[in-house]
Amino acid sequence: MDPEGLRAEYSAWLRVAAERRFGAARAQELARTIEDVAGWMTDVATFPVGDDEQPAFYGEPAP
Amino acid sequence: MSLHTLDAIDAARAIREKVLSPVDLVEALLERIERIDDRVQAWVLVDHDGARRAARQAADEAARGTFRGPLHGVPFGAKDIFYSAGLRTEAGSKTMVGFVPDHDATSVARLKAAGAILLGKLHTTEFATSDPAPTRNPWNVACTPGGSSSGSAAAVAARMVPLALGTQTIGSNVRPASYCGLVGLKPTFGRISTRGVMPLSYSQDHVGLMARSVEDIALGLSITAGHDPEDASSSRAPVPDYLAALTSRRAPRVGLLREFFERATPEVADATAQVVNRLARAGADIEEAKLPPTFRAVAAAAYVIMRSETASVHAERFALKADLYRPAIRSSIEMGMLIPGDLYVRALRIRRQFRREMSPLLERYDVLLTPTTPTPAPEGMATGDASFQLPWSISGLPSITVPCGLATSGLPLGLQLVSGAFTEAPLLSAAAWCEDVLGRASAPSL
Repeated sequence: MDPEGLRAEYSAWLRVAAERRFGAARAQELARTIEDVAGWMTDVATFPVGDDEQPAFYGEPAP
Repeated sequence: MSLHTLDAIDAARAIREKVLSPVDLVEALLERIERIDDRVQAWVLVDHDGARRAARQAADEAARGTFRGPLHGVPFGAKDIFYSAGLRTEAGSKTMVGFVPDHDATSVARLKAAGAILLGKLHTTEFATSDPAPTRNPWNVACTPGGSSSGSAAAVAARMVPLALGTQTIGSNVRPASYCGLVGLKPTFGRISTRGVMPLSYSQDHVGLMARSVEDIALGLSITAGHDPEDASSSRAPVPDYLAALTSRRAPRVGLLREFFERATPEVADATAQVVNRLARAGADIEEAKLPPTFRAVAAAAYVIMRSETASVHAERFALKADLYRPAIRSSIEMGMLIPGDLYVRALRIRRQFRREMSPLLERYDVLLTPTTPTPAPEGMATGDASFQLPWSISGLPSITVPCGLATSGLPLGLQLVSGAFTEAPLLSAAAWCEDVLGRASAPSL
């Protein structure tokens, strides 16, 4: 999916999730934040990451 | 010289040589706070009684020739997210009103064990996010001191205390230090224990230090660094003698990160370029360095990680007290609750990829160099742009800011240096060399 399409999908999904969890009024108040988060989610989802790149939960081991 | 202007290391030396009493030093700083803090609002709580009691004890011990450690009798302040035994710790939040920890954060305890005296607690944005503290910038009270370690920066800059603890999850220690004309260090992730520091993002929270000289930062790091078995993220890396590292100052090999200059205002970019020329004339070997591809994704990854972890940190408290949270932290928690787990893990993988891609650059140069901030401290309450700190917070790499002059507005500017993991010793050495070339920052006139 193209990034713009994915961003729209995330945005719609977040609005629905926010309404369900926090109520419609609060979801409306979060509208701008939802757009920011949808953008970050899109950037993270579409940026290429190596197949063998494991998550680093904490810092690398000491040298 | 007025006692309140003494750096930590000079005060410690004078106390050890018995030409300065800790009692006089504490009284001078309390008087300074009394005189100017209504304008700066750096302190949430000043522990008059506790500091005076500790000062008298330190003076008695000094008179007997007993010194607890290298900061014997020297006051420090701590951001109000550091636990302090018997002192209110409220994190700038209505949800924490009246909370009094029964123990000190490890970093507070280590400073006390080295003889330092906790003077009080310093304002923070709510839970170290972006709902602002009341603190003002001592250089211009119409401006922010930056955040989230707002009180730490303002108090040290205003000569109310020589050394302060701050924290950084995105840009909260180095940025306010720069806005206030200070030296500020964010060490490698895991270098200083975060035990007893209210978390914001478990895998990105760092304890930092602020002072008015690189030497004071080196001393503070020597005391606070080192493994803490009570902190799951604490490193076992050996702690070198950071003060000794400053004795071998030499012109560093510097990788200049042009992208940051392009994102700064023309005034900041030009001023920093002039500073770079001065460093080159003094002998620094400077060339342009290119950031790796994953740099483009680190901001999104950092915010996805932080929101997700913040939601986890606050889940129980938020369920009970959501209405007591201020707007920015509240929306951060709410959005963190909605971010899918697979994207959180992908963001962690991006972080590791970025850190791995940075390795060749960090091996090639002693330090990487950027302006510390894209602008001087902005007017108003918002705490400023953290984007120049973010890559080093998400990757856990050490970074330091050194004052490098004043903008036309009279506000301080800073030079940010970055180095490889657990290379604080050469980083501090390079910072001290820059400080020698550029000179120490002046003091704000309050």
